[in-house]
This record gives sequence, structure tokens and C-alpha cells, in this order.
Amino acid sequence: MSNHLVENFKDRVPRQVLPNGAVRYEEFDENGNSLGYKWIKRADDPTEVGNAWNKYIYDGIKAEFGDVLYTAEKATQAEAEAGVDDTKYMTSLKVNQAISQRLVTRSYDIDVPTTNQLNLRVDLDSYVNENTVLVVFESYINQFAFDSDGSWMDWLVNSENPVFGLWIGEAGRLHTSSMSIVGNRYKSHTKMIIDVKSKLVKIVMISGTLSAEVTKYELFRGTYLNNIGKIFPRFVKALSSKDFIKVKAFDSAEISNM
Amino acid sequence: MDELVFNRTIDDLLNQTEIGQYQAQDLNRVESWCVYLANKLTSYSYPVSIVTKTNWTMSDKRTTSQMERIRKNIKAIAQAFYSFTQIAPSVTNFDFNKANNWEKILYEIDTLLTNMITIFLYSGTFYSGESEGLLV
Repeated sequence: MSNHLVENFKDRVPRQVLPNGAVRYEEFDENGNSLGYKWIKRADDPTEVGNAWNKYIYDGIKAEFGDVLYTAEKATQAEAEAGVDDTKYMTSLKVNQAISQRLVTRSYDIDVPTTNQLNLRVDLDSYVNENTVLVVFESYINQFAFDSDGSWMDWLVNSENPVFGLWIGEAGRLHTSSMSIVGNRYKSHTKMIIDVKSKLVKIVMISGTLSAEVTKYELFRGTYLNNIGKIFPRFVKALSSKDFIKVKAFDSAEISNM
Repeated sequence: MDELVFNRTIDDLLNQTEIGQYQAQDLNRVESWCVYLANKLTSYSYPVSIVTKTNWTMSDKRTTSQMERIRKNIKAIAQAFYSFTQIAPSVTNFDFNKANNWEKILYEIDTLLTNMITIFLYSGTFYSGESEGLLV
């Protein structure tokens, strides 16, 4: 930490002081030549002596107020990521980067039937611990896929219960998406608008031991899919170690029973 | 406070003068000065913590450990502030020179401490940035 106050305040200790308290001064002419020593003592006969400004007063002030004047030093990026010194502050960018650095990218493969599927739906249950992290999904379909009328498959990220009753982005969507073709893949880069993730709406058991509230997201729903081999939902902007996702595909029969 | 004694000579020893003999009163004087200076320094924010005995009698045994305690007290006081004379490194063969050494240090500390207090600047008598702290 840096401190605005001096760490070790000291008093001046003169050696040339007369028993009556007069202090030695040296007098000079305008050319800097010494005119000898004089012994001077204040003799203003005060009605109030006043408080001495000395180490005792200074230490008292420092003890009373010193901590509030401390300015924490700024953490370096390495310190922010390592979390080695909690006396140093981090900028919001460093916090974001520090958290992001620790995150583990997770990807899940989902096999879906290759026959035509109506209303295929892939749900993503996610518990995102960090509500300030932008969660980005990348989903790949390794087969060319069209809707029945030849239009793009509709990517829809939905929430069972909108968080604050507010849908962000396009109507009915909690995401913004861009579509591109990479080879024979459709790539949709879907960004979850983080504000709407934070409502935890469901309790699930994971591996019989871990339970947490999750937000259920419907990754996509298509009306007609042809020859889809695999869908790869993957978090590009990964979650913290406390986060988990579970992805499941539902066919139309299962959806109808939901 | 009793006047400190640091001008003993071999003649005092040989002639058994008052200051040529190291007695209980001498220990009481030294220890009292240690208490006085430790308290005064602490009050001015130069903290010193020592253990003293100021009721020596002629029947008290003057052990090596007790003498070493006094020596360390004086050293602690000097280290908390200033002295020109260095404390003798041990109490082995404690003689008039070492007795002088102890009390000379205490005298120096008291003088310097008094000097320091004398030139304290007082509130309302100076402005920030004034050079040399002149009294006028």
C-alpha cells in the first residue's frame, strides 16, 4: 500500500542549545560570508503557548486517520488473474479478464436423429455463476440443414421464465445471433444477454449430488431438419468453475409431452 | 532527578571517595534515570519498554543478570532515541569506566531530548514551506 503519511516521522534534535533554551543560528552577509553565531530564543510572552507540532502529535493523527488515507495500489494483470494480493485493487477490465482467464471452456456434443425431425428442440440448462460474464454459445451443425421452405433454421434461445419479464434482443429471443457458413457447417454465434440469465428458476440434481438452480434455455427449435448428424453447443465464453451446463435434445414426441 | 555521575577516575577508586564506590544508591540513581527517560521518550512518541528496580538496598545481591538487565535498559533507551557514546558490550568486569559509560549515555540522551523539546515549533508560529524554522 502507499500511504500519504510519512511512515517514520522524526523530530529535529539539535546539539547547539543553551541551558536557557536559546538556539544557535549563524548569521551571514549578502555575499554569504559568515558573521558568526547568534543564540536566539523566542520571547513573545504568549498568553497561549499553543500546541507543539512534533512526532507525538503526528503519530496521533496517523493512528487516527492514517488508514483512511491509504491508497491501494493497482494490481497488475498477472496479479489480478492469480489473485495473489487482495490489498491491491483491480479495474473492472482486470476483474473481467481475471475471471475469464480462469474459466473452463466446455463443450457438449449432442447426437440427434438423422431422420427428419419436426420441432426438434435442444435445451440447455445452465447455471451461470457470474452474472457479469457474457456467455457466448457456438453451435455447429455438420450437415446442411434447411427448414421445409428452404429458409434458415430458426435459432431460438428461450427461457422458461423470463427473468425480469423483459426479453432482450429480438422478440421471443434472449440472444443475438449471427449466422455464417463454414465449409458445410452452419455456424451460429449466439450471445446470451447476460442480464436475463440470472434468474434461477429450477432445481436440478446433477450426478445425484450437486443441486443447483438452473435457468433452462431452449437452444433452438426447428420445424424441419434433414440429415443432421451432430449438434455441438459449446460455450465460447466459458463459465466459471461453479457453472455447469446440461444439454439435451428432445424429439417432437417428447416435446408434446412436456 | 539526582545528578548523573560519569567523571569517576582511578583516584576516586583508590581514595574510596563517594563516587569511587558503587553502591545501592548508584544503582537506584541509574535505574530511576532509566525510568524517567523511558517514560519521557514514550510520552513524545519514542516508545521504550523496560523493566526496572529502583529500591536497591545494600543487602540486595547485585547479580550479573541484574546488571545485564540494566545495561540492556540503557541500550534500549539509546536505541529509541540517540546517544553519542556507545554502551559497553557487557557487564563483565564492571568497573568505574563502565559505570561512567552508563551514566554518560543517560546524560547525553537527556540533553538531546531536552534540546529537541526546546525547539518544537508551536501551532500558529509558522507557515507551511517556511525555510529553516526561524523563530521570527
